[in-house]
Amino acid sequence: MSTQFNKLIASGCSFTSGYKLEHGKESTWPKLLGDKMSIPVVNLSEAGRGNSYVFSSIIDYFMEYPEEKKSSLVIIGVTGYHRQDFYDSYGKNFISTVPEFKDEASSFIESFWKRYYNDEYYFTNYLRSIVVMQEYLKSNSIKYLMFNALDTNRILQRNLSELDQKYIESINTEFFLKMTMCDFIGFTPKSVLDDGHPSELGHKIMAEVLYANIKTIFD
Amino acid sequence: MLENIKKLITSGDSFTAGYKLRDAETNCWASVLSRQLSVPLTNYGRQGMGNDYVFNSVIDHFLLNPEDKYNSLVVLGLTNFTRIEFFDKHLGLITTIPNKRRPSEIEGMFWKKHYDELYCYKNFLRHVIKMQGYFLQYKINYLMLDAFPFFPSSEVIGDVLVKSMIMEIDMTRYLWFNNRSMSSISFPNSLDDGHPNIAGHKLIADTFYEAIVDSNLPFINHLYAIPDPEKDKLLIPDWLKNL
Repeated sequence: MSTQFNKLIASGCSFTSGYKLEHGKESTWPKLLGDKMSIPVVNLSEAGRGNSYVFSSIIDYFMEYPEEKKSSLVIIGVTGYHRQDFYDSYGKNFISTVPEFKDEASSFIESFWKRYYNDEYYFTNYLRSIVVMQEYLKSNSIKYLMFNALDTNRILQRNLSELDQKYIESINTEFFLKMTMCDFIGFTPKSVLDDGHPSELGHKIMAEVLYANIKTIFD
Repeated sequence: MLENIKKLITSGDSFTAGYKLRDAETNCWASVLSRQLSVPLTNYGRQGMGNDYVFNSVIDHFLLNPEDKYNSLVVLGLTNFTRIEFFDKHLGLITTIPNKRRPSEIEGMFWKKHYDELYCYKNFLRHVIKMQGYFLQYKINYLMLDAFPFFPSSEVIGDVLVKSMIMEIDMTRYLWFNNRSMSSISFPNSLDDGHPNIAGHKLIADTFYEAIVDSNLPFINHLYAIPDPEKDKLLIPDWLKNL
């Protein structure tokens, strides 16, 4: 396996960026996994961002380094489907519609949740974006593995439309882990921080899980 | 090629829907083109929509009708990259069209505080690139053309990532990329509000038809062929060649 890939490219939300970890990205699952595989790591993740950013960061990376397409392994920690990315032209910054941050939300985000959020619409968009991203990666001969970072109970409990059901069937599950990061790390007091993000132990467990899966899938 | 096309699938904004056209279902360019090709049409063109809708409507179509992947031609009329979709709980799907109507609360805030040309244009280019990958994977024949001119500023075009993205776009499929549009093709055959009239729609259909039957285009000979940059360089605008 170590000879197949020369680099690990990771993207995701706070569960991949090492949000609130004492040693930041140094003790995240991408770094630990890269160490196990003896390959360098590029961690593009950013806390609070939506899947639009998560997928775009990968595409942009390969725009800049097209020669790395065939020798890299991409691992994506897909985040919540409700998070939409927007640009804040005053702060020259990016914001996303994280519902947990409602209390400190801008009037724009308040308005988004009040009048412009439609769960079915964004859920279908989320499924579609995964399918299209998988086709993009495949058409560029980029090896990848995806998983849901956040708890998917909301997804599993919902009533699926015919379109959603067909999108779920279209996702290439060979390269999309069925369990979520939350499932893997178990949510024991030692594996998560007080705010629910993975602890250093949680990241270590995730790196082990991914390493085992990569060996099974790509070796 | 032509005998391999059994169905025409189109999507776009008002230029593809035939907005304000008399008997739009018959006279819009999509309908004229389907008669020229002698194949049935499914037209998802919808007034005021953004490119998210344009692409998503086609992806959804192939998900629900997978058998159409192998014998359809997709023709897309792309719209302005500044149109961002929101789902209005009262109105349904809306987009951020400036100056067209009294903006809703979120549209006003979007333009004031959350619009960034570079951010939106990069998102647009990424969408096109992802769609190329999607079409390539399923070997779906397609063409794209801008509905009307939407030139990004020179500042945006000068961005390094934007340049790389533009070079990634298959110009044999994206006709006259950001350089010629349905609007310029149909000019001066337009209605008072600038949308093409019946004659304008006919000209747009003729242009697509010529592109499809033009033996110099690579996809004439195969269901899906790798483009030949030498053969197809005429389709690449000058300003792009100099990037």
